[in-house]
Amino acid sequence: MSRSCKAYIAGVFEHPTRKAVDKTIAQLHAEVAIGALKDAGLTKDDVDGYFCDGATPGLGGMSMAEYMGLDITYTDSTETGGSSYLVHVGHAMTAIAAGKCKVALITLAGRPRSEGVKSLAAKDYGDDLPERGFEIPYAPVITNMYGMAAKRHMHEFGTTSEQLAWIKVAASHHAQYNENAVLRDVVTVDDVVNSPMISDPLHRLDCCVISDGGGALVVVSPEIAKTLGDRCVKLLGQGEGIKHLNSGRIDLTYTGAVKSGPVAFAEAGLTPADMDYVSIYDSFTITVLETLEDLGFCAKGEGGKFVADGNLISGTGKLPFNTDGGGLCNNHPGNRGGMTKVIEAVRQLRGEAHAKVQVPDCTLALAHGTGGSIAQRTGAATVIMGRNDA
Amino acid sequence: MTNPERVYADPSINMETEAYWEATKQNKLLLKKCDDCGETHWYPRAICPHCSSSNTCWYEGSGKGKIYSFSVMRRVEIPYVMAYVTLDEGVSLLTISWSAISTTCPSIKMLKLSSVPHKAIRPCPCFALLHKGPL
Repeated sequence: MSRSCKAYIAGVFEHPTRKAVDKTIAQLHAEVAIGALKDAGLTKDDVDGYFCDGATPGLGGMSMAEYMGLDITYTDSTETGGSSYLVHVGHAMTAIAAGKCKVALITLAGRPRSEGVKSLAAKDYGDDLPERGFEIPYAPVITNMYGMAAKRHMHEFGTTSEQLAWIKVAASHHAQYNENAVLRDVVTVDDVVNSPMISDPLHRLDCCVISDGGGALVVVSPEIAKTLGDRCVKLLGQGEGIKHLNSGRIDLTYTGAVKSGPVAFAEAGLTPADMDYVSIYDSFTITVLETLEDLGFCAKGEGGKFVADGNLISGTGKLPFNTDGGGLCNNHPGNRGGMTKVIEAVRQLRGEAHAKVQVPDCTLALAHGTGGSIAQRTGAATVIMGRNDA
Repeated sequence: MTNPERVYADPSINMETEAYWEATKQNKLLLKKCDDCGETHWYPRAICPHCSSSNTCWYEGSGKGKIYSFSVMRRVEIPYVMAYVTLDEGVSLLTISWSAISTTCPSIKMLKLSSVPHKAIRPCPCFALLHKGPL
């Protein structure tokens, strides 16, 4: 069953807060839900499907459905870290195509900054974690694990810190126009490679920001989309997958995007060359570089050359990416960046991105999410979408 | 780089991994292999992830291997070198090396279990240079 063109994104909302000291996580969920429903021209009473990640307060979606006063007949709380929301979009596409729901609400909220999280420390998943004894004693944290992926990529393909830095440079060029972005200063390659080393070869400016906030999406059936007008964005294809350490036969030079990308492109009947804009999960610069290769925007190992010299800067480069500033500069709500990737792609397709970064005549766009750790076990999800008239 | 007084977290030993942790007390690195398909896997499990057989058995690994990748975590009180080491038996494990800091990724033969950290609840396999290979 192809789900292409059988569901639309009708509403999106990115919470403007970056430090929510005076709000609860439940409150943030409700605020982004209200924002996205208002953006769609719907109310909470129209919602019959609710989707959230495993970090949402309560058991699955039950507590938040109650808190927000939703009347739900379909729910999904699939957890794949920061890629969860792109998985949820796909599952909403499936559910809507199968007639299981008509208006699916997807929410994300988190406040790691207010809670004092100083680094992207690995979450403790408890004593039953099967790999626990073979990893946790050594203190793997997100930064040194991604550092090892970057180091191996450099070793195999000659990728340089300067090439990785171009990803941050491009993000910063976009973030200067985003008044909500955590980091708005334009930076240079030198700024990145001269910033303090966190975990080799990743410098401070190779890492994303830590921020509070959240976001929400409203996915609707074609019948409902028709009543809501041209701002609805057509869902053309989606893919997802899990990549892990493969029983010890490891390869840190690629991500789960090798699984999710081809499925999404096949469902959409499109290729990377068709994309006018991409949102690529950017927990670190290396995440973007490996993902672009894995999705087929360049050959494996050629990512360094591909991202260099401003190729990702809107208006300058061939592949404008993360025009909100991405996780590297704008926002990484709850340490989970997949939601905002979808939101900026929708803004681009609606022609509602900031004028300085809007891609002219943006018709087709891709959003990709990465969850967990690309140097351990990682989730991946790719969503391909088109303008309403695409 | 010396082996500083780093606190290692409790590995949370369970019935699947008890033998492994008993062996580390004797400075031995045990691996698990499947009697049916013959494949070694990492980390050790009761069920073979290659063929789903439950006929898995322990054997002592050579303890030798090469660095697959590493990263020096600097933004902590005691910097440490996180590494993936590919053992001669073909599987790669996550560990800490105290001597990878000035080298490139591969071509470094490692000694097994070079150190038994004082502050580990159980000894955890750590690795150090056997000899320096070409950089």
